[in-house]
Amino acid sequence: MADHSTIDQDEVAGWLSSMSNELQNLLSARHANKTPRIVGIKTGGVIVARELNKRLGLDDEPGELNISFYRDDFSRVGLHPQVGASKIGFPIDDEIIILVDDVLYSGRTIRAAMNEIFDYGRPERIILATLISRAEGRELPICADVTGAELKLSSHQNFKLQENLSLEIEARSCQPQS
Amino acid sequence: MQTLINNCRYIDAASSQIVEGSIGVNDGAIAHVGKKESLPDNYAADNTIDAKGKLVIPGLIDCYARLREPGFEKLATIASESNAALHNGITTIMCSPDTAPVTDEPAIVELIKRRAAATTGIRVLPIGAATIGQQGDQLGEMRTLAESGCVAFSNGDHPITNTQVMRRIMEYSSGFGLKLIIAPQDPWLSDGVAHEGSVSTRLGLRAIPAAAETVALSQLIELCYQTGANVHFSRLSSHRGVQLVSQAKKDNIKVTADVGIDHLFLTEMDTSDFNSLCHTSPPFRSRADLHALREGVANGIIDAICSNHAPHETDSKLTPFPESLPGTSSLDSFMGLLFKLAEDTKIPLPTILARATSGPANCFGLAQGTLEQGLPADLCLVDDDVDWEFSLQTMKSQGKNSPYQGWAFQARPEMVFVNGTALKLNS
Amino acid sequence: MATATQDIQLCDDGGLKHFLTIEGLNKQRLTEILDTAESFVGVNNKATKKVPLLRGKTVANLFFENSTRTRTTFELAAKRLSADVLNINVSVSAASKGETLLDTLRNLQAMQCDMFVVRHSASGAAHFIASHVEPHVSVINAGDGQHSHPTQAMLDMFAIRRNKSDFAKLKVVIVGDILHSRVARSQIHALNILGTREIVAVGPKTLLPENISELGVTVEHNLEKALPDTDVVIGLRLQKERMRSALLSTEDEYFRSYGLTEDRIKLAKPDAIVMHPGPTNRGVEIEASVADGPQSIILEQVTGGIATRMAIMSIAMGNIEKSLSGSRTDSGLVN
Repeated sequence: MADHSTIDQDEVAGWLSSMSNELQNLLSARHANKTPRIVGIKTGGVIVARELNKRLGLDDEPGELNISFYRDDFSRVGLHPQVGASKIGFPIDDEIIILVDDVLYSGRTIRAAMNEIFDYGRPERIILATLISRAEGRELPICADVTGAELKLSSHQNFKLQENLSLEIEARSCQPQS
Repeated sequence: MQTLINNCRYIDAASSQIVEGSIGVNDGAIAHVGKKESLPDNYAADNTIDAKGKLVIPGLIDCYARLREPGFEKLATIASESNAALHNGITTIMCSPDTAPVTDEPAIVELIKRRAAATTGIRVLPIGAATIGQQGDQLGEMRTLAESGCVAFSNGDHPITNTQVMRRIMEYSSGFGLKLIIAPQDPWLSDGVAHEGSVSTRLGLRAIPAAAETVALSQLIELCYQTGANVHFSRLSSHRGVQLVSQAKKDNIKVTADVGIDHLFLTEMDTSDFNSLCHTSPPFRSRADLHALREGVANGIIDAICSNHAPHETDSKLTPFPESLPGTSSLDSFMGLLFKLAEDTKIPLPTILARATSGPANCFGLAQGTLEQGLPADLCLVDDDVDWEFSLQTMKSQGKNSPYQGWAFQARPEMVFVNGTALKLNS
Repeated sequence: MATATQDIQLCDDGGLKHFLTIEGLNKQRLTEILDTAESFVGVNNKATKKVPLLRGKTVANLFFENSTRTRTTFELAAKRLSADVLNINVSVSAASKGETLLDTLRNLQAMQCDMFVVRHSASGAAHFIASHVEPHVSVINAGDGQHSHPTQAMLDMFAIRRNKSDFAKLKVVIVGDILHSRVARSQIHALNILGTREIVAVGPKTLLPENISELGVTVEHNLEKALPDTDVVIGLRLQKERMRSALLSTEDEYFRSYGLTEDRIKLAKPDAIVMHPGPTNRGVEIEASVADGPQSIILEQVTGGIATRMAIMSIAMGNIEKSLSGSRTDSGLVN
C-alpha cells in the first residue's frame, strides 16, 4: 500500500454495520436480559464507540477512557500529551462492557484499558470490539471478539480514523500513540 | 649580596608612572631605582636578572586575612596560606586574631611568627585581639602585644556590641598610638546572609541592609572623633559607607579604610543562583555599591585593598546557601584580580597597586610599599602578559572556597623577593 | 546568571525534571501541569484511586521541617501513582547526629530512591539537593525556607482556574506576611506567568518591603484600598514568631488592620473567592465566618492539591525517564 491512502466512509460504515450485527448476536446469545455499556478508548475508539452506540440503539453516552496513566511505555517516553480525563458516567460492577478501539495492533492499549476499567469496578464481561484488527504485530495474547476488518499493513504504517469516519493510512510518526 | 634586575618596567614612586629601567638590591634593601647607566660605580651585581618585558612592583601587602593557625589547622595553616600569598606576590600579610587560642597574648604572637619564619619566608604580621579572648569586655594587652610584634588590633569576627567598651578600646589604644581595625557591622542589623535588595527578596534570603554598615560606621566615626583614636575601617561594602568615610576624612578624623577585593568584582547578582561560594560577610551588595567602592579605590577614600581571606573546609560550603559559612578563599586570586581591575576599569594600574602596597603600608606605618632607595627589597617580578585560567584544583590555599573557577587572569609573579632574597616559587 | 537557577530544573528539551521554583517557567509549562492535574481529578473519583504510572518507583518524602499536612498530600499523591513512599523526618534523625545533608542524600540514593520530595528551612535547599543528585533522581520542592513552594502555588492556580475562567481578567489580592512567605513568592510568579491582570500585595511595611514590587506586584499597605474590584483574595498564614521579632504589634492590631472579615470581603467583587494555604489562624488573619463561608474555596484547594501534585510528580518523573532512555524513541505503545 502507498504511504498515504484512504479507506472511504462507505466502506467503514459497512464495517460498522457488520460489527453491530455481530455484537447483537453475541449479546443475545449470552446476555439477552442485560443492556451492555460501551466504553471507547480515546480518541479513535471513542468515535467508533459513538457509532456502535447509535447502531445498537443504546441510551447512555459511551464512556471514554484516557489510558495515558496506564501506558506501559512511561519509562521510555514519559507522560504523554493529554487527551482529557477518562469519563465513565455509569457503574462498571457486574456490567457487560463493550470495549471499543479503532485499531488493534500490539494489544498494549487494550491491556492498559482493561487495567483502567478494573479500577472502576469488576465487570461481568468485557467484549472487545475494534474497527480494524491488524493481522500482524500482536505483542500480547489479545484478540478482538468483534472486528470490522482484518487488514495487513507494513510496520511503518498506521491507521488513523478521522472524525468523518474515513480511515487514513499514514507513515508512523515517532509519537507512538494512535 | 647584590642583585640587579635589568630591563624591567617598574612604577616610579614619585610620578606613579610605569617606566623602564633597573632595580638594584644591596644587603636586603633597595639600592638603586632608575636607568642602568646611573648605577653607582661601585655597584657590582653578584646576580643579574634580565627582566625584559616584565613588571617589577613592590611586594603586595594584604592587611586582612585569616590564616586559621593556631587552632583551625583543619581549615588552613600558616604554611599553606602564606604559600598561596607568596604565589600572588604578597610579601606581607596581616593575619586576624581569630585563632584558637585567640591572639591575645605574646606567646601566640611568637608562635605565629615562628611558624611563619619556618615556612615561605614572607612577612606574617599578627593582628592582636582588642579584648581578651575576643570576649568584648576586658581590654586586650595591646601594648604588650605591640611590643611582641602586633601591627594593629581588632576583635576580628566578633564585633563589639557594647559602645562603652568600644569607646574604651579606642581611648586605650590611641594612648599608645596603636591602630585599630574594625569591620563596621551593626550586629542587630547584620542578622542575615545576603544583601537586602532585589535578589534577597526574590530568593527569600534573610537580608542584611547596607544600613548595617552605615549605622555602625556613624557610631564609630563619632567615637573616633570623641577619642582621637586611629581606626582603620575594614571591608567596606556599601556606597553610603564610602561616603561616610569620605566625610570623616574631610573632617580630619583619623580614619583609613579598606575594601575586600571580592567586593570590587562580585555583587548580589552572583548569589542569585544560591551559589554558597558567594556567601560572604559583609555580603556582596548592589551594582551601585560596587561602583562606589571602585570609585573609592580610584580616589583614595579607600586606602587599601585586602583579601579578607577566609579559607573553609569544602563541607562548609556544600550546604544550602543560608547554612554555609561566609567567606571566600581569596589569596589565590589576589594578584590576578588587581590586574584585572585595571583592565576592567579606567583606574590606572599604579593606583590599584598602590592600594595593595603603599596604601596599607601607610595605614599601618610599615616602612615598605614603594620602590624607594633604602626601603627593604620586598619586590615582585610580575609577568603581566600571561593568560591563565583560575582553577580550584590548582589553588595553593588549603581552602578551596573560591568563586572564581574559570575566570581568566593575565598576571602572575615570576620572582618574589623579601629583604632582597628570592623566595622559592613552584611553577 | 539569573537563569542558571531555573535551568537546573529543566531537561534539554525544556521539560521539567525537577520542580524547584515557578520562576523562569513559561505559560505552556504551567498550563501543562494544570491540564494534567485536571485529568488526575478523575482518578480520585474512581473505586480504585490509583493509576500505575509510578509503579516500582520509590518516592522519599524528605522533611527537614515538620509539616504533616503537606507531607500527607504528597504521600497520598505518590501512592495514588502507585509509587512506594518513604517518609523521612530528617529533623529528628540524621541532622541531629551530625550527618550532613549531602550524606543523607547519598544514603537515600544508595537505597535506589527515584524521587525526593524535599522540605527544608533553608532557602535554596531544594536547588542544592537537585544540583547534587544523580541524573535518575527527580527533586520536588515542598517548600524551602522563605524562597519557594511551587506545588502549593500550582494547586492554588488550579483552584483559581476551576473557579474563574481567564487569568487575564483577574485582579488578585494577596494579604499578609509576603516577606517571609515562600507561598506568596511562588503564587506571584505563577500568577504573572499565567497573565493575571493585576496582583496586589497587601501587608504592613515590615512584612512587605518596597522591592517586592520587582516581582511584579503592586504594593499596598491599606487593605480597604486594595479590595475593590478584586476577584481573588488570598490570605497568608501569619507565623506567631513575627510578633516577637518586632515585625508586628499584637494579633488584635493585625486582625483589625489586615484580617479577612466579612465586611472587608464585601468590598471585593460579589463573586470574589477567598483562599488560604492553611492552616488558618482564625481571628488573626481570617474571620471564621469567611473561612467557612460561601466564598471560601479553602477546602477545594486541599482536594485539588492531590491531583496537582500527582501531575507534577508524574510529569517530572516521566521526563527523567525519557531523558534517561535517550534515543529510544522507537516503538512504544501502538494500539
